[in-house]
Amino acid sequence: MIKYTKLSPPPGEHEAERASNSYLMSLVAVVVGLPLPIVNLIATLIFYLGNRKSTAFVKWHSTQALLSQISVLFLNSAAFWWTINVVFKNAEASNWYISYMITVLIVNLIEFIMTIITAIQVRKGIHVEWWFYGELCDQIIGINTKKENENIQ
Amino acid sequence: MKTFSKLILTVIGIGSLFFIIQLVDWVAIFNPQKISKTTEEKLGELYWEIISKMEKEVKNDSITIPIKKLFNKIADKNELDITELKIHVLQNEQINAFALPGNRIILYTGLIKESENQGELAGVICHELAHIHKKHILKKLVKEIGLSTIISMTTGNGAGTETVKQALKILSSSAYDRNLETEADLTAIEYLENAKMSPEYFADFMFKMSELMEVAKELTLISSHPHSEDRTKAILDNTKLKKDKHQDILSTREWDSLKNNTYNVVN
Repeated sequence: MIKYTKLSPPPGEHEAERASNSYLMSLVAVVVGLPLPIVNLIATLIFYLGNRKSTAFVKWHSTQALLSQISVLFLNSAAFWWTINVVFKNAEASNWYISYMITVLIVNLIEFIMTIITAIQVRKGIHVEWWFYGELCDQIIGINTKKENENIQ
Repeated sequence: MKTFSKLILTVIGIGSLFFIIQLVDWVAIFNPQKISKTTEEKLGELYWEIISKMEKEVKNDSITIPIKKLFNKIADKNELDITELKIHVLQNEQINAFALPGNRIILYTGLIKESENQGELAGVICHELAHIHKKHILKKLVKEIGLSTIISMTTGNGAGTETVKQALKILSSSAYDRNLETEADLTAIEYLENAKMSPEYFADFMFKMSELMEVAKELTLISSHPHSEDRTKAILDNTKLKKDKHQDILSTREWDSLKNNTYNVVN
């Protein structure tokens, strides 16, 4: 699920902190205590936009944080509107509904744990690539991150 | 592995997780209906405690027996289980009837007085029964006062009498969601026709209410049930059983006695 790479030379202290913060941004909704799935995404997106002109290491990790949030957003939005229908409309709290909510909870929990682990590792200057997202980031940014990172001074 | 294959595998992974989870009968484990029922019962008791302090309940058999006969016949013809239903007739001049959480229906004597025949009264009764059987009441409360307030009311944390009174005011005087009202009207038509009563009388009552609205806007049932004219038309459009095929539940003597006794209680 997670692939660790030690970069040589490692990213600078300031870079590692900024890259790590992009993951912490995605946890902001938990801190705020809002159930709205959009809050996470907005926070991560703002951070991503703010770091567009940053170094490759920071840019790469803020993209990974953003992409993971977008994926979870689809699942969470469906859960949110389904719940609204159950509470306010005539939808039933069926087995499908409960199962979906449990699935969403598990996915969110995995994402939450992975985010914390990644934030810690990235703060130490270790390059962390997630399953699927890591490759996607490489393609979106359009560079081979590891090589780029190896050149970071 | 290519990115696209990884994406497909991720989607399949989440899908499989969902599939495995739904194999468990979560409804039996969590029993959301039971939780909802307990909450409704607690709320119903809370409301009734306050209403019974504020209003006088009519316990005269000459009024309650024919009312219960109407309910029982309608329920019987529609195979509705009303064994847990609590019917309260309150001495109040307002033309109003409303359902409370926890299977309670409140009828005001003003409504019985205003009903020209039992078809009209049965229409209102069927409408309130529909709200109960379609589980509209808790939905309305959640929408109007919020889930957190309801939870605090049922658990007794931080909800004072004022909060409960406010919620009670909402239940007795403000409108349900328009879709819920329409659903309750259509269900009421079904109940009435199954009981061999013509919904045209219910439409008459709604029309009368829309006319009364012009002169007495303070009447609760009117203000709480907007668009009475539209509803009258909708009821008539969906009615199959006309007045000439209508069959009363109460005998003429029973109905007259109910009306007279209601006047005697009020006056």
